[in-house]
Amino acid sequence: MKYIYSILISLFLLGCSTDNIDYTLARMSGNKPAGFFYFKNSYDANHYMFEHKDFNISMIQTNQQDWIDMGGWHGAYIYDGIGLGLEIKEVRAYGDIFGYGINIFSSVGKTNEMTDAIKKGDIQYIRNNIKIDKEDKLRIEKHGKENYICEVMEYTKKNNKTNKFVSYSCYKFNPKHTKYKKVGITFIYTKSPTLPKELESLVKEYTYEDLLKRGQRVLDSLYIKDGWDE
Amino acid sequence: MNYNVSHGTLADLLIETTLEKTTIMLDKVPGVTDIGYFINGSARQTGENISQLAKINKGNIYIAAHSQGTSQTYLGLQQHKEELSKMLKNNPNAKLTLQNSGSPVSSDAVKDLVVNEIYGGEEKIKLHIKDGKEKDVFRSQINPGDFIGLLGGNFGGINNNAPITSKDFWVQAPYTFTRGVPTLMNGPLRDNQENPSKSSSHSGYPCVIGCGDNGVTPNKVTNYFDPTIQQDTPLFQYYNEIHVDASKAKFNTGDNQ
Repeated sequence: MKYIYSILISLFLLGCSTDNIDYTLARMSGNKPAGFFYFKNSYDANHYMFEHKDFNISMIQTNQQDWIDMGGWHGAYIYDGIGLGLEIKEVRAYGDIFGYGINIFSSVGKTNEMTDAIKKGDIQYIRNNIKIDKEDKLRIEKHGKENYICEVMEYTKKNNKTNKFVSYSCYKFNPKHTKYKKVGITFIYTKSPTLPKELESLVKEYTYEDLLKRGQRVLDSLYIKDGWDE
Repeated sequence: MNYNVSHGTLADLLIETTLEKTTIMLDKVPGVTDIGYFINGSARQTGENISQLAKINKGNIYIAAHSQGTSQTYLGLQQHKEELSKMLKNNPNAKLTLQNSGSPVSSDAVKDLVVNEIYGGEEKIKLHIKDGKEKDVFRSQINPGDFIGLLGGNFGGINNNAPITSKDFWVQAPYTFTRGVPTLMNGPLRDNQENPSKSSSHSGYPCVIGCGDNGVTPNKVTNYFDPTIQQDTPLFQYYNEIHVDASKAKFNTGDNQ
C-alpha cells in the first residue's frame, strides 16, 4: 500500500512522463541493475559484486582484450538467477559458436539421501542417481567464504562434444540439517567444431583452462546467505 | 505447438480465457479442475494430444504454447500429470519440456506443475538431464511490454512473475501499459516495417527450450535458438530487433532483496 502511495505521489510530482516514472521507481527500488546488462570495460566488471537474494558472488576475472578481440561481457538477471556471457563480435552472423558463459542459480530444499551422499562423499551413490556418462567426471570439493561442500561435475553433451561444462553445486545447511540452500554455478566453454578461419586465432587465447582459471575468483567469493524458506 | 484463435480474438480473450483463468485460480480446490476440464473442450483436447504423443515417444515430448494455448496446455497437463509423471519415472531417457510464450498463466504455477508434480521435484530432473535444473524443463518467456503476460503477473524476460499484490508488479506494469496496450492488436514486426516500434510485443516469440528437431536448449540462459543460422544467439539482441526495451526483461526480484 505504501508503494502505491509512492507511485501516486511520483505521478503527481513528475506528470506522465514514463521515463521519469521508471527512473523514479528504479531509484526507489534500490538502484538494482537492469535485467539485461553490459559491462563497458574490464575495470568495471572486475569490481562488480552480484548481490542476489540467496547469495553474493564476484564477477569472473575479465581482461580488456575481452572488449577488443571479443564482444565484451554481458549478462542478465534471469530464471531466478544470473547468466553471464562473452561471445564473438560477429554473434549475430554466426551465432554463439565460440565463447565463455556462466549460469548461476539457487534453490532451497529438504535434505534427502542425495544430500547425505554428497556430505559423505559417496560418489558411487551420486553417479547411480543422476544422468552422467562414464567419461564425465564427478568429485566433491569445498569452495566459498564458508568452505561449502560442492558436488563438481565436468561433462560434455552428445550433440557437440567440443563444448565443455563444469558445474559446481554448493550447499549450505540449516543448523538442524533438515534443509539446504544450494547455489549452482556452471561454467560453459563453447567452441563449435567448425569455426570460420578468421576466428581461429582466438582459440589459443580463449581456452577451457583459461575459463576455469578466471572463474576461480567466482568460486572463492561465493557467500550463501542464511534463510531456508522455500 | 499450441495456440487457439478458433472463435475470434474477442471471444477467445473474454470467454475462454476467463473460464480458464477461473479454473486455474481454483485448481487447488479438490474437484474444481475436473469441472473445468469437462466444460473446456480445447483444454481437454490439448491434454489428450500431449498424453498420446508422450505415450508414442515413451515420455519424450517438447511442448511450446503461446498466449491462450498456454492456459489450455496448463489445464491439459493438470489432467494428465499422473500418467506423465509415471512415464518419466519409468524411462530415465525421457524428457518433457515446456515453453510458454506470452502466457496469461502465472509462470510460478506452471513451474510448480512441471517441476514438482510431473517431475517430482528439482532433484529428479537430474535423472533425465545432465546437471538438470528447473530452467532445463520449463521456461515462460514474455517479450517486454506484452500485456497478455501481465494478466498472469508475468513480465519481460523468463519466469519473471510478480503477483499483483507485490510491489514489483507495480514497478514493472507501467512499461507494459505504455508499450504493450496501445499496440496489442497491431501484429508482428513484419506487418509494421514502416513503424517497427508500433509492432505488438505479443506477436513473435523465439524458442528458448526444446528447440528444433532435436529439442536443443541453449547452453547459456541468456540465449535463444535462432532457426535461420541454427545457433544460439543472445536474447537481448532479439528484443532490440522487435523494438521492445531489453532492459525491462528480468526476474522477479521479490520483496526480500
